[in-house]
Amino acid sequence: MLIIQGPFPQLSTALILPSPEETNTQQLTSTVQTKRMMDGSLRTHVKRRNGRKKYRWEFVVGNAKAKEVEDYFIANAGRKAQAIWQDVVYIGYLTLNPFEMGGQVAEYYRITIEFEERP
Amino acid sequence: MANFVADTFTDTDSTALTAHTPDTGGTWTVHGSSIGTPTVPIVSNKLDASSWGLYGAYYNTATPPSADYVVAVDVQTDGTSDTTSGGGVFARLSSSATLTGYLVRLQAGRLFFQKFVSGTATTLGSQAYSAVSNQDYRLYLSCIGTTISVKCQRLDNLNWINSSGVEQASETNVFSVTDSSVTLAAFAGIAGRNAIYGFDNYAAGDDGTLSSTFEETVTSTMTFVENLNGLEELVVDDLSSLAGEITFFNVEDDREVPETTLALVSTVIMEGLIQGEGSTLSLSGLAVGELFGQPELADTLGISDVATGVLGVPHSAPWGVGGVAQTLSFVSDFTTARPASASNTLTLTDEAIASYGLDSTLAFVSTVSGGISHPVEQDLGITQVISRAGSEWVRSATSSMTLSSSANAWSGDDKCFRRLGSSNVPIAAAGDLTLTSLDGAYSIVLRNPETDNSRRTAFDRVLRETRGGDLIVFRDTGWNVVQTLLFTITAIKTTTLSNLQTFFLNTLGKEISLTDWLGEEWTGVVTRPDETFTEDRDGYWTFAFEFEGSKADGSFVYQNLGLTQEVSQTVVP
Repeated sequence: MLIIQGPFPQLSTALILPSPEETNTQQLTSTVQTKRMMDGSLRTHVKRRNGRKKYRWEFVVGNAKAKEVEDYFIANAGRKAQAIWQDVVYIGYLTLNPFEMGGQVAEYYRITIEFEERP
Repeated sequence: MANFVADTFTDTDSTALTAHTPDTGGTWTVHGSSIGTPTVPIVSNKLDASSWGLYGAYYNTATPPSADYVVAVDVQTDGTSDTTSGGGVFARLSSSATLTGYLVRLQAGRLFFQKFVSGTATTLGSQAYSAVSNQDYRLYLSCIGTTISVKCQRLDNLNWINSSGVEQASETNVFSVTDSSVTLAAFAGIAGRNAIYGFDNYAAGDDGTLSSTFEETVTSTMTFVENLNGLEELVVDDLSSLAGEITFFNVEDDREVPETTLALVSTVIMEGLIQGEGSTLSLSGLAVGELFGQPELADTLGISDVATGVLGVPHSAPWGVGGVAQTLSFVSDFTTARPASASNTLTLTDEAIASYGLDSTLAFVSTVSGGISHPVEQDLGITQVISRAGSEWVRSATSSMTLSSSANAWSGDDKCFRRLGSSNVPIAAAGDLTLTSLDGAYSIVLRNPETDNSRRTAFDRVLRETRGGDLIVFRDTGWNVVQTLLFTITAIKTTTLSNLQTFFLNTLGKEISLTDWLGEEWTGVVTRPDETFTEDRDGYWTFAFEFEGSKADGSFVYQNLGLTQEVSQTVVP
């Protein structure tokens, strides 16, 4: 079970979702740009982004739950949120834009939530 | 342990004791209990007490570290049985005119042991002995807690006077009492009465072992340093020479801690544009004979380091001599960039001979580092021998030797000769993928990647197709070559994932070292730390990352290690 609550910190809405599908991902947001000099040396330019991470979860939910998620996005777009997953609390933003419900099969939707940390 | 007062009374003749500066400690001051003002001079580097007169005492103003110490002095008698004369030492002596302290004094034929408390004298012991005319005796007054003891040693035959006044070979006390009347950490002193004696070798130590009374450290150090530095100079030439003859290099009068150090250091440091460099540190011996028929011509170059301790010599610490340690160390280090060849030879012999307790340690490090070089060879030869000739009680001899040797070489430009030596013996082949920051502060070991790993080599070059359809390709040999490694690692646990992300953050944009499962080492940068980690199964992640860098050659070099170890023993039945 994955819970999304918002807006942070005055949590007034809770969105309860089932466990995400396998192949959920996470990644660092830090980046490295490399530039090779004429003498062969390498220079790097980095953006640390304070070590923030980005998470991506996919769900298969019923029609009503999918619309509930959609309502949450409409009501809290651009607001900071709190996600609880496997007893770990993440604070950040839902960054996926546009939010899309797709793959409808017999009243089921496949939705994706992308969450970037911003403590 | 150090003495807080030590005095060999070495000074100009007729110098008064109050004007004399002791070897260690404060000044000698007349004690207020003295009758009159004794003027005891120094004659022939001894304290001449023949004109001491009535009772007089001096104390040294050096404050003892504690109340527990031993004071000692050499006293010479003239053999006259004058019971009104005597000389000796004070311990725990207060500076007040009313005497407080412990006194032992020696006169011809009798030893007196007394305590004084606010001017009241109490005899703690009196023992007759057979005095020898003009003979040195050494008095020891030991105050350790409430145990106050006296020893007396005749210095020509090293015999000790026992509690019955009889000489014996083994060490013993003349007097030993338990007394708590005087416990102050007060001064050490010297006293005489109508004295006809000479005093010498006064010492007061701050612990309970009399060895501290005679502790002396004799140090001899000879250091020769030659430094050569150059920065962007075509030729830097500095010749220094140390010429001269050392005919006598000796440490005499060792008592407990003999120490001698001989160091020769030669260093060359050059930076920038280097054309040539050289550093030579040599010790040479030369013997040339020109006369026809000269029967023998010998040339010996010896470097030796010797420490010898002898137990029981006069003036040595009678409570036991400390161990004798000998260390002979050589370091030979030759490191240079881009040599045509590199060779390093280090030869060392270390020998210890003792009547018992054989212990031999031989340790050294030999290193060869070569830049762009073909031959990198390292020969390391060691011989360690322990032999002993017999004791029928102890029949064992051990010899242990730990040895390591390593050699590395790399070739940055000439790829045809990058691998030197045996190609089937990689130095490190742990079967893991290891990432380490160049400063060694961060490191992580990962499982081997999937077999779809790839190595990409990209060249800077120019491709042009002419109007006539010809293809013209140009590349300058100095243009860049970029090598990229791509790895995909599966089924790493969440904790490893977290550690890897932490490693990426700590080394973001910095060069790291990557050692692959074959032992090949790369230096470069992780260019895509923001690649996606995918959780394929619960708690198990798949990750792909890209590494751009260059290979550090030198995984395969010659390395020969020769070792001989021998233990022999001859047992006397």
